[in-house]
Amino acid sequence: MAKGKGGRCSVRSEAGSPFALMTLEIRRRLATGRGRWAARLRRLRRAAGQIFYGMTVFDMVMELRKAKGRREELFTLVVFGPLLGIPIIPPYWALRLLPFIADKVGPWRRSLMRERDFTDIIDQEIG
Amino acid sequence: MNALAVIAIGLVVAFGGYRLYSRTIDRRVMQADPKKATPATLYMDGVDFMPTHRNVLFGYQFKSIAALGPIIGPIVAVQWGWLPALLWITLGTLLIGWVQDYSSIMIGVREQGLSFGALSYKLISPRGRVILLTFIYFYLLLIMGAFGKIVGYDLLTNTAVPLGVLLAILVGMGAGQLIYKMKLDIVWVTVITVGLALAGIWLGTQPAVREVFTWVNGGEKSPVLFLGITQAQFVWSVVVMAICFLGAVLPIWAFAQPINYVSFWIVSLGVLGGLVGLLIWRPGFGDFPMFTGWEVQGLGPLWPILFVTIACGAISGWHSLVSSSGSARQLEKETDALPVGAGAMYMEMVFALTAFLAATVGFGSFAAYKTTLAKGPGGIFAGGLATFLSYIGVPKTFGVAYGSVFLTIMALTIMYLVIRFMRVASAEFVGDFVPAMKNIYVGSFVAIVLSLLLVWTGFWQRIWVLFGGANQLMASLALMLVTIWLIASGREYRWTMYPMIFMFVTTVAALLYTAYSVFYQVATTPGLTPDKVVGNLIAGAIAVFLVVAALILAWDGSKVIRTHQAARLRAAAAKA
Repeated sequence: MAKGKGGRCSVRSEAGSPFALMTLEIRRRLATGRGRWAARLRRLRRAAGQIFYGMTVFDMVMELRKAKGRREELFTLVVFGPLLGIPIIPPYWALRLLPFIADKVGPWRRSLMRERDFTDIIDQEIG
Repeated sequence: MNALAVIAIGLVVAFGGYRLYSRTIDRRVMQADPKKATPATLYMDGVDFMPTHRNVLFGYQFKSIAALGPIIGPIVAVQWGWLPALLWITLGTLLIGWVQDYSSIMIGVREQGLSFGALSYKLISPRGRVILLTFIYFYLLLIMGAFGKIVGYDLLTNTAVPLGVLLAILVGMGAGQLIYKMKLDIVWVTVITVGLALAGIWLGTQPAVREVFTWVNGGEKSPVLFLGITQAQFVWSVVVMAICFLGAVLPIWAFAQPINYVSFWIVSLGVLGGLVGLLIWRPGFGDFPMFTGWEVQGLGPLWPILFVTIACGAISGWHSLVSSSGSARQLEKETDALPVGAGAMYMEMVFALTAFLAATVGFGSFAAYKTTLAKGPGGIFAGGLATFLSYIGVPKTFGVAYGSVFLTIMALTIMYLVIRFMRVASAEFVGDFVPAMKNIYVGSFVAIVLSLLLVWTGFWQRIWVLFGGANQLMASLALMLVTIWLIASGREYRWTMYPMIFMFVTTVAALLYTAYSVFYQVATTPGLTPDKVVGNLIAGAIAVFLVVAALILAWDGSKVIRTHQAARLRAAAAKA
């Protein structure tokens, strides 16, 4: 298309008549308008969907999120509590009770770590 | 006057008010900044603070604030004529309602997501927090009394209704199992459960089923058991409280939430169908009077009683709790507060206008409305909705049952959550002195017993006025908190202060008037039955307590306001 004055594309020379020019212009406006209206409709549909989601299942999602978050907090507290300065029961009471089991730690460790196989149960009552 | 004109007025007020007034306040006074970090984006702990799109929050906010208030309030208030009720619904929302909702969200956002209890501690005094929380407990008790009365005495005693409600609850519990345990697709769950619920409502209208519930009620004319309470009223009030007990103690995913989900569909299909029927019918108001007089027998004078009768449809303290503890912690941007807070409140106004129309045009005449209202407000809404639905081909008998189930389910979804709050509140207040109150069953049981006491002894219109008074008073206290915050931050505050003063004076007057009426009735009516004496005394005592609590809070608040105003004046003088 030849560029006319003001940088506008001119089809006059190619189309050959004002009517064709007008038709092209109308088609161009319709296409742009449709595109704009289609975009508006899409935005409206998306907004309606989001509002609908907010009214229906959003509170369930929030509740699930909170339940998950509370479990994660509990896990962090139990595992990393002492690192955060919170005296969690196992390490605190473990230290308090340590003097009572100190002499039993060796035998306990040996018993726990000992390799076992099925012949270990030969001395038990079977049958 | 035509029904479409009312809808048009509502839409004009909503759009005009939002664009002209609300937006001006948001931009010029609060100066909402889309680039400023909100608590949701700042903390983002994935538990309480999580940024959420404004459209989702709008739906969530609207669903949280829309309860029985915008429905029953207008139905009762049109006894003064349609004009006063219409003016309060529209102007109340425009000048006060959206102000409270929006400002509660903004103050929550600007104060790092603090709840109202914490805000009253910070902005007023430590005593302010204790008083506010105690106030909220009694407010919750009044919700139970008001809703429990309407549901247990009015709606469920209609033999066409109970099966629909009970099946909706069972189906809701089933929905919980389908979603969480069987992990079924939500679309299928919706189709199955909502279909079953609708079938249950239809089944409830069948003669054979109605006969069963007539037998449960003790016959066509239910016999009086004790204290003027009929067998039907006793049975259904106990059933309602049993449902609330289950809702308070069972895990939320197993009972409360899935039932809320199913009830959303029942309510929204009813509202949609009703609106379409209304648009097809386009009725006029007929002989419904514009104004009946300054006083209504059994209710009281237009001022202050009308302004507390229509609670959530114009302004409601409940919204400030939802806004500050819920939406404020999930706002993505400050500029979202306006569409979420103000938008949801304007939408609630339109919802209230639908109930207003059910009362004014749904019965054909003022006399028919008054006759039906004598039995209870639930029948007004159910009958009105049935009339609207009949214009889209829904049979009237089904429509009345549908409207009743609609209201009952809506009330129940709020009531069992209220019992949960009451249980947590009582554990916090008295748990250290009475360790048993920390037990969820004991706490819930105590709340249920107190609620039943109110239901069995109170007169429903009086409890409704008390509930409205407590609700609006909490709204004025929320506005007081916002006013203090605005003054402290050097912003224009008259847009919250004048509504606060109006609501405070009106609600205190309404509560004092109610207290005077009940004590006067006890003192001057010989031969009053014991239940009425007890009911009146309880109602009066609650009214007096609420007024005293509000006055103490207002006194503490006014001291803080004066301190901040003096500081502002000194700063202005120093600048000059």
